Formats: sequence, C-alpha cells, structure tokens
Amino acid sequence: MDLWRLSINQIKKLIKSGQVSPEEVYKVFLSRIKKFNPGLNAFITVIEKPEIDKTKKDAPLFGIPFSMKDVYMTKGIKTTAGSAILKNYISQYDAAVYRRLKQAGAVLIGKTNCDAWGHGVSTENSDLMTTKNPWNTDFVAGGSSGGSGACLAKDMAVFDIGEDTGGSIRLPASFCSVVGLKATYGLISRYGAIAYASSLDTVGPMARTVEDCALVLEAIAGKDRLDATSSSLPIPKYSQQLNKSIKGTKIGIPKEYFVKGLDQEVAQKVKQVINRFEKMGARIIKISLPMTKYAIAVYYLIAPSETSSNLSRFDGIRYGKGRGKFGDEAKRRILLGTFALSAGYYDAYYLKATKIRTLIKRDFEKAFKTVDVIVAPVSPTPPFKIGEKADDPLQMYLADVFTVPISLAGVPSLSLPCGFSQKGLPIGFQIIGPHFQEAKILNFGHQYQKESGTFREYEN
Amino acid sequence: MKKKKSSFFDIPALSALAKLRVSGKKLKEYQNQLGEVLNFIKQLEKVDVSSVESTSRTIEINNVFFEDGITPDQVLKSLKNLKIRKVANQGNYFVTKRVKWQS
Repeated sequence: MDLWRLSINQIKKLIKSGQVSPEEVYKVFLSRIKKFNPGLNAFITVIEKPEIDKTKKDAPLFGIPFSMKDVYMTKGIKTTAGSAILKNYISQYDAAVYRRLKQAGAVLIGKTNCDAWGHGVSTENSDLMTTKNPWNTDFVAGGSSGGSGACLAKDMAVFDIGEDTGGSIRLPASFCSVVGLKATYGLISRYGAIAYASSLDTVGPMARTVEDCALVLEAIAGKDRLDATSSSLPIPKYSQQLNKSIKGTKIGIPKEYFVKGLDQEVAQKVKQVINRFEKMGARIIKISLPMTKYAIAVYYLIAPSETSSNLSRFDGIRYGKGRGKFGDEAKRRILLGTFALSAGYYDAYYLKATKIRTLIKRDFEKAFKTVDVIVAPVSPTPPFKIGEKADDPLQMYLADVFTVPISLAGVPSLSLPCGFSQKGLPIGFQIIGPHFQEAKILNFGHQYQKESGTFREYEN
Repeated sequence: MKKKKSSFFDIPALSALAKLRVSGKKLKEYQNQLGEVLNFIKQLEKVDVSSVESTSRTIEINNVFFEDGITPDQVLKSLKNLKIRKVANQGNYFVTKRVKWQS
C-alpha cells in the first residue's frame, strides 16, 4: 500500500483502526522528503523526530504529517522567511495557525522554501535557494510558497500551510498541480506570521485534493483574540458541505481574464473547465471586472508600502542580522514603498491606489450580485524557466495579473489543477467567491475534482 | 516594442530614508528597474477617484478589547536562550551593536 497517496480521511481511518501508527505514517513521508527534496529544494527545515501528541487521538487531524511555509513561528524551530537576515532565527513562540494544527493532532514534518519575505512568484528571490518544479526541474515551482507546492506535488507531506498576499498560494498550486486556497482576508488568524503586507496577507491551506483543503480549513479558521483583524463569524464544517449539486448555479466568466497575452494552452484548458461546469448543469454568464487592468499597478504600490513599514523592524537589533542582508527584491520593494509613502508622493501614489482598490472591490461586489462564483485562469502562462525573468522585476510582477485583483478585493479563491501543457507543465484555474463563502467555492472545486480527477502524477 | 524611458527614481534619497545602503552598480540597476515600474504605475493617473473613498481593509473590523494582564505563555522568562550577541551582566538588558551610522 502506498500510504503517501492517501487522503487525510483515508490515513485517519488506518490510524484509528490500528493498521498503521502515526510514527509509521511519518516515516513514509520523511522517506519521500529524503528521496525528492535534494533535487527540488522544497524544504528549508526537515524535522527528523516527530512530536506526536498521543493525548490527541480523537482530534480531527491526529497523526497527519504536514509542512508549513517558512514564515510561521514554530517555537524552538527555525523560521527564516526565506531570508538571509533570519537564516538562523529560532522562533520564540507559536503562530496561531500552528497552535491550532497541533491542537488538531497534526504533526509538523518540515518548513518549506519561499521567496524572501514572500516577495516573488518563483522562489528565485529566496535568499537561501530556488525551488525547482517537480514536473520539470528546469522550470520554477511558482511563488512565493513554491516549496509548499513542490512538497505536495511529490507527496512529501499530506498538506501544507501556505501564505497568499498577491497570489503566493494560488500560483505555486497552479504551477505544481496541487490545490491551494486563498481564504477571505480575516478568516484565519495571522498571529505569528511574518508580515509582508498586512492588509493583504492571508493564511491558507494547500493540499492534494479539495476535500483535504476543507478538512484543514475547518481546523484553522476562526476568531483569534491575538489577531484583531480576524473575523468573528461562525466557522462551518466545510468538509460536510462538499456534496451539493451545482446544477442551476451561475458561473461568471470575466472577459478581462481572457485577453491578449493569455497563453493559448492556458486559455484552452480553462475553457475546457468552463465546458465541464456547463455539462454539470451550471449556467455560464459573461461578466466584466473593468478595473482588472489597474490591479497590478495598485498592488505594487500598496504591498511595497506596507512591506517597507513591516520590514523596518529588521534593524539588526531585535531579530537576526542587519539591513545590509536584504536581497535585491526586498530592497527594491522597500524603496518603492518608501517612495509611495514619502511626503509629496503619498496622495498621488499610495492614497490614490487605496481609492482604486475600492473600485476593484466594487467590481467583485457587483459581479456577485449576478453570479455565484467566478472562474478564471490563475496565471497567464504555464510555469516559466528558472532565470527567464530573473533580471526583469516588472515582467515578474505581471505573472500576478490574475491573482492580485482578488487579493485587493479580499475575496476567497481556490486554485486547482486542470491539465498540462504540451511540454507536460501544469495548468491551473481558480474559483473565486464572495467574502467568507469558502464553503461554496470548495464545493464547486470538489464537484469538479469528482468529474475530472486531481491531475496527480500517478493518475496520468 | 521600444522601451519607454524610465521615470526618475531618486535612489540615494530613498535609500537614506529606508536605512538601506545602495551604491555603485546596484544604484544604476535599481534606478532603471524601479523607473520602469514607476512608468507602469503611472497608468493610474487616468483613473478618476474624485468621489471615491479609500480602502485599507476589505472586511469590517471591530476593535478588540480584553482585560489587561500577563499571558504566561507569551512572556519571555529569561534572556538565556535568546540568540543575541551579548547579555549585559546586570539586570535583564542586552547589548547590541550600534546602529546609527557614522557620518
């Protein structure tokens, strides 16, 4: 039996019936890490000895090995944010999401590589290493949670906790053929997450199936008194709302996401998804999100402004090494943010960007008055080659063109695989929903996976 | 496509504000790259926002109040395990390298 192929529920069943122990499960995934990680650079830290809390036997994720993007505090374990400044930084406390997963009985197996401070779409901005795409190691795994995507593509953990500010969960999920959820801003506590851009940062699960994503989400979502921006809304049992028929529902297709510049193979695959949903009984409705064209410019004013403020705490006194250790991309974003916030430019740049953000949010509010969900590509292209865009920050930023509007609006989006390019590289699409409607987009995603499969290596 | 001339980006002034040291080849490189980004951002000039409120948070947020007090698991009990360069001999203070640059 290939334990590593199994879902959370399948592994739980085996543990509960005594057919396998949590230690045996852990060993299987650890051996996968030893086998695949050296060629992929997915992990920054691997935990050799599991901390299995036997008092959590009845907890929902008991004995399930998981990984986390290396931006979450894990007491006594290194947290680097992919940066040289925090290369040897040992966390002093646990992030809320880690605490909740431990309470749910899950077992941390390692922490994954990312672009330093979350600044990037390929992990090429990691100060430590570049993660390679598991489907073709000449290509990027996406970013910034690229280590997380690669880890799941090669079944080195059952699930992962990524972090999405402008697309950092959805893009690597798309590039690695796994599932990633960018949750509604405020659904999951950010306490203990190293901040990139505080009005945009979201914690979210990544997994191999939508069902696993739903199970993890119900363990980590909900109010946390240590994060003032976390929502007080009640958390539904997402995993029990995955079997609703989508017949008669309305799916919006935004014309601005199918424009010149969209790779033909990506367009074709996403159109196949739309046809599939139509066959399943959904009504397809053309919609417009007219402010989409301004989203990248708005994002690259707001996010750098917030990061220039957040990264000011790295002064060489309180945490890690001094500011001289910032990499090129961090320096560029700090400078851009400093510019947008400086006297004489604030109104023309930062403030204006926050006003256009209102218009972008209104686009989505208007669309959701007529449709249940929106379906769109995640990335304009399949994964690109390592080094291809490394010297051109603007081209790198444009990879986020279909993900940042959603981040600016704060709505949830589920990225899931829908096929491969002729070169065998993964292609993904996203299902976008209204604020706090994760149950709805997870249901659409699960229904899709029931029809189309999960596009895993062993399914091909 | 012919590239537009980059907008001017005053790296020395901004790096001083941001407490970063940027000089030589990097200064020119950042100047060009950020100038191009700024050119791209300038498309926002076309958008009329005269009657639009700004958005800083996309969901409704309420202030959080709770009783003031010590949460034991959030208290640093000792400086012993902190990876800092040197712990002062007296009291719970620690010493770091000076930060202010010499002019």
